[in-house]
Amino acid sequence: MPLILIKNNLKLMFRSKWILFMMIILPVVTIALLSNAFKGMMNISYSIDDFNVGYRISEGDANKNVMPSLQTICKDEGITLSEYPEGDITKLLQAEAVDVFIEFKDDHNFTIYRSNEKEAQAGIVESIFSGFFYQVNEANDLMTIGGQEAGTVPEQFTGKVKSEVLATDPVPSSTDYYGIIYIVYFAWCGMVSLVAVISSERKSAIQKRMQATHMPKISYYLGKFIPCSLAIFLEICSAWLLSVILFDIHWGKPGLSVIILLLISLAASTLGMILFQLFNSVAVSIVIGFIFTWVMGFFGGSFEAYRYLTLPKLFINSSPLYYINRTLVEYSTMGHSAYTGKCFLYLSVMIIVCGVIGIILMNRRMEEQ
Amino acid sequence: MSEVILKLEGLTKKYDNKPVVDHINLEIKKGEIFGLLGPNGAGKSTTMNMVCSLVKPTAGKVELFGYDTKTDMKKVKAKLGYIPQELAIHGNLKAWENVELFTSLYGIKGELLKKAVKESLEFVGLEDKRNGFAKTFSGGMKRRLNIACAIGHKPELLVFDEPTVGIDPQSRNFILQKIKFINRQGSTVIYSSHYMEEIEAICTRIAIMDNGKIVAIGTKQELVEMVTSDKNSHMTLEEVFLTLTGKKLRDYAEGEN
Repeated sequence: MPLILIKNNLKLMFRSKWILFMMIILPVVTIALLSNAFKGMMNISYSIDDFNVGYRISEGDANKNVMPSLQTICKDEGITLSEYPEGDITKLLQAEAVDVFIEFKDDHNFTIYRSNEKEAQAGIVESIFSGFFYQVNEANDLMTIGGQEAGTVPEQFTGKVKSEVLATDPVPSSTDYYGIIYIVYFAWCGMVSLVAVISSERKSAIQKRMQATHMPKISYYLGKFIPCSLAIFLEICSAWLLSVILFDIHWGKPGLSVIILLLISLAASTLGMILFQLFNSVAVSIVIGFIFTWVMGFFGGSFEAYRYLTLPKLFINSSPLYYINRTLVEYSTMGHSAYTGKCFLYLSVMIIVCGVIGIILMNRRMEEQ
Repeated sequence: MSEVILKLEGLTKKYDNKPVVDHINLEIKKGEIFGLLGPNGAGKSTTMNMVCSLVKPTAGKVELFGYDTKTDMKKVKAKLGYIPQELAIHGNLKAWENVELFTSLYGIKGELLKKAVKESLEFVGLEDKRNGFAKTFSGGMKRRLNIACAIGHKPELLVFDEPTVGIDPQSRNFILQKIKFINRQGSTVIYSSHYMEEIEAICTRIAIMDNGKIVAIGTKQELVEMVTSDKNSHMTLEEVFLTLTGKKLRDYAEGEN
């Protein structure tokens, strides 16, 4: 292990003032600006696409025979109303098979189940159902007054509505959301730390001098990869602590969050190593790296909260930032995340694949000289 | 008879099928200060780079300390010190950090490394500036630091590729004196330059290169005798050089050498 090479390259990275500014101060400033600018972001109005509503009604329920009429009304509103006689409601909502679920109770009440993010859809359904059953009751009353039997009209419906919010996906505050997302985003930008070493090497004949020594090629790679990862991790942890102290950002599962930040630091380093081997110009490598990070962030919820992303699922799912952001935000809001596995897998695969490619490219570059 | 440290056999390097170094044969013995003299683009740096395994030869063989560098370079790298033509130091590292870094790459560590750093800095007269950042140094100090970074591991063969380019006469004189001192302590030196007076002042044997070939080789006196039959001639090395390589200007583009 080339410890002195690692130590001195780390010194070079920490002695670059603009890198320190970018990695510690800029994230804090960005978090302050964006969390304030988008304070109401989590409750903004937005257009709603067609959506699915499930319902469950017992066989003997008098309302069962009006459901076809209700389905027609819903269809006109762009809502598909389907019956689900069985199945766990929470699972149906989590799997996004339905956006809202109505359960008719024996006491002529119905309960609306929704996840936090489907508040608007639930409101629409509640309005339609309440309006419909109000009219049904009115018609029933009129017929009773006229001495007619209710016949096809259901017995009086009380119209009591009980709305229940399932704890599927709580909404973070804008400060927590941006406080987490921008620590992740800037950690990816941390590949810029390599510039301190690589530009110094390329300005002079350092690579040549190193090749004249009997240092193994892998040491040459590790001599940059390890200090870069350490620099990113330490700098971003400083920004993290600073933002927590200044803005009281709530991070969940600190242990796992730190491990994820460490993995991001490793992945950003391996990515940077590839880019700096691919291009002779340091500036071109940085620009490509930043564009890549921006695109990953665009699909991963760095600029618009991932819950509101209306982009194709394929692009969203292919961004590692989506899994990282979602995992860390869910740690903050729920204390756990179903995305943890995918987040770790994505980062581990990226570190291994980019690491191998980086080593191959570095060997090839050194042999070409 | 002295041990042969470096042997070049038919050494050739071509770029785009154009020979930059063309079938060079050469032997350098232990204890020599061997001068490689030639105009710009003669192939000196490429030859040096091939000796240090920084550039792969197109053809031919480099034998260092009896090992073929193509197959056994790792065995001899620790015995080799290379001072490139360009500065090879980190501006944002202190003088001692630069020396520590490059000396450590030869596997030296712990107390030995500390001692090597101190001795190297003392040797080039920079011990009192050990905590100064290299970027704040003058051209001459940077050149001296460049040398300090290559001698910490006490190499048996030192390859200097134009180490005095762009520095003041005092620094140049200091470097030349130090090279002689290193040689007296037992290191063999290969010294490349196009400054005739430097080569004349320190080298025991000289090879003149032109257009990728060695056009003459020998002591200064032997070189003089190659161009004049007058045994009492007082020709300078520059006159010998111009006689052998001609007076035509040597313009060459970057990458040709």
